[in-house]
Amino acid sequence: MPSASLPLVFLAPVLVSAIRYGFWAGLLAAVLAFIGYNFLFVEPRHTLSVARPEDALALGIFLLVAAVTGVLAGRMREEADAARNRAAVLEILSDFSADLSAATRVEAIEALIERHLSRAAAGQVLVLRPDGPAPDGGRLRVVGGAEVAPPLSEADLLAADRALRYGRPQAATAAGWSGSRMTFLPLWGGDRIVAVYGADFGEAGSAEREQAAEAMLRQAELAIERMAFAREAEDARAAAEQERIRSALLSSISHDLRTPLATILGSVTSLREFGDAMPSAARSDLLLAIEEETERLSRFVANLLAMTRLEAGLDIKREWVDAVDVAVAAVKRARRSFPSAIILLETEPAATAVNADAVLLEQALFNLIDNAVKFSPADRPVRVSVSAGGEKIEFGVLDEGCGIPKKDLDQIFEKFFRGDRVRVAGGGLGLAICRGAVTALEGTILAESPVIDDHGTRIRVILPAGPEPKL
Amino acid sequence: MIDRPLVLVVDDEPQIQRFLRHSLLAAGYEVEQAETGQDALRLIEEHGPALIVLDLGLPDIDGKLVIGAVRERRETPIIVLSARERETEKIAALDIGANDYVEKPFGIRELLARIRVCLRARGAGEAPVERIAVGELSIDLRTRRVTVAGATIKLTPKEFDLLALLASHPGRVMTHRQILAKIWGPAHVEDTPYLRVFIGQLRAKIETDAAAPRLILTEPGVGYRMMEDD
Repeated sequence: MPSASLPLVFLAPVLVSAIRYGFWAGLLAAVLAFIGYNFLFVEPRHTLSVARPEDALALGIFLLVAAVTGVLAGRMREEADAARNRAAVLEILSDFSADLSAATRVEAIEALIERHLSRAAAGQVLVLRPDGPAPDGGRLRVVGGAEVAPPLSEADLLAADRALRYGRPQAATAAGWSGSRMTFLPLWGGDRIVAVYGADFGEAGSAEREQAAEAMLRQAELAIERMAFAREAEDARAAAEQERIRSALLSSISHDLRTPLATILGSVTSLREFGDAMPSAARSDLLLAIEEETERLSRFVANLLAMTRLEAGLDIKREWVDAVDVAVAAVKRARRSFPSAIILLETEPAATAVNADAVLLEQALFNLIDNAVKFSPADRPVRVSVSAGGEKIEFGVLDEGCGIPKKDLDQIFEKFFRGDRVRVAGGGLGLAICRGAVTALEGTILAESPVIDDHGTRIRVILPAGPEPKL
Repeated sequence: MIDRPLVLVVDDEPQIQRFLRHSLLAAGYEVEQAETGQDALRLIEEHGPALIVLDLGLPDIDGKLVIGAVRERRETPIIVLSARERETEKIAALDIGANDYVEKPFGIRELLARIRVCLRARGAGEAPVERIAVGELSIDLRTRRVTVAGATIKLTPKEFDLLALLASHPGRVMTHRQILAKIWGPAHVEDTPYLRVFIGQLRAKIETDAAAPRLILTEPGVGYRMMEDD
């Protein structure tokens, strides 16, 4: 009988292989250890037969101990593996949701699914897309991952198709399994399936990975749904804004076209109706009203046309024009349109050329002056300035009116915006055209108020200046 | 010099005020002007105008509130200035007591005609009339006999009531609601299609050409107006 510690030496490899390679390896090692021990140390040696009954008992106990050790160690190892697997899956899931919260487009979400799913599957993921509306016309086509994954078997294709038809995941480990090597997961986007993902989760811990993959897709679906809601909300907001602009346009046209038309028609019919029965002062006043309102109409029409031109983005001619010339033209037109207003023009001698559409720029400046005149006290001047500095040309229009509240400063350039303080006629198109024109000319426009103590407004238009072209 | 009726013009557009002033003065009215609803109500209290021309879009208060405030104490005729596309506003104004409306833009003749109708209807309010004649149409309110160019026309009682109602306000618009409430009762004010059918029957009986009516005129979306016999 060998020393009592000898069997323990034989147990060591059983333990090691069970821990390293799992339950079955442990069991195999136990059987081998049993045979080896029997062969080498049990009388008669070098045979597998056992002579003494007490040796048979010892051998039996040895086998039992080896087997139990192997089983326990193997299970421990498997649990450790499972725990590692779960931790890995959880990490993938948490990475996925973190990335998902930052995604803003469906395409981005799909890319995330592909990336994280391939982590979970420890391999390439197949992306399949239906080419028609499910459930009838849709046939799946592989659109991603095919270059790395092995070709799909008949069973794989069947499982993929089922995932599409039933709209439910087809797990490779599920009961009633089709024989497919891969698990197929459909991704719902709204009321239809946008893609089916195929992944091979292998053997170890595949159930958990499959569950994680399903969870991932559900999260993605929720995110897509959320996105759709957000888009709907955005669409509704845009529609409301569109509606606001449309109704503002209607009331603006109604007001800015109808009032001059009503005045003209009323004055003309009055002149025809009463003729000489009317004092001559009244007659000439009516004629003056007709003239004024016709000009007002024509200004409004010019603005409507400019707006249309800007919105269509057509027909904007850029050429080198003298900034002072444009300002002089705008001021001249304004003085003619508003004879009672005091309009001063201050120019720096060095003001240079500006690369612009002269007609559009003149219209923009005219609108600024028009606006300033409306808000200016009758006895105070509107100051128009042109100055050059560095690469910039700046036009300024300053009035000494009541000013603009801070909250409205950004909005005055919106189409049809009218401030609370506004009590004067005007459609709210003028400043919008200014901004449109200045933007089209790659400049900036900004409003400052108050600029004189607690009142006054200055609108600044800054355009890129250029060297005089060489002739 | 004869008494010149005072017309109050309420409109915030100075240009509209301008030509109305000239033409109303030339037509023989005194003119008072207000640019806001508040001013208008103050002037109405102070001067008691014979007629009010009122733009519904005032800068301070809704023109309809002005009508309501005036109607609480006065019967002063009110002619509303409104835009063509704002039917609901016009109808609401008429239903709360405006007497007529004119759509902007309008010729001065149209407004002056409306003003004359309103002022005349007011002056003629006292003695109840027994006979109404409009062109070739003649209505005897006592015997309920209707003739067109001398020939007797048979009307159902409802048709007669409808005709009598329109004819007793010649030249003045009546809204669907006003007509329905008077003839069929307040429970039927929404039954506009019903009214349309009756108007059609009535026209077939009294108009020379029912397709181009000259007696009962349609005010699209608003109501009906009996031709004024000038």
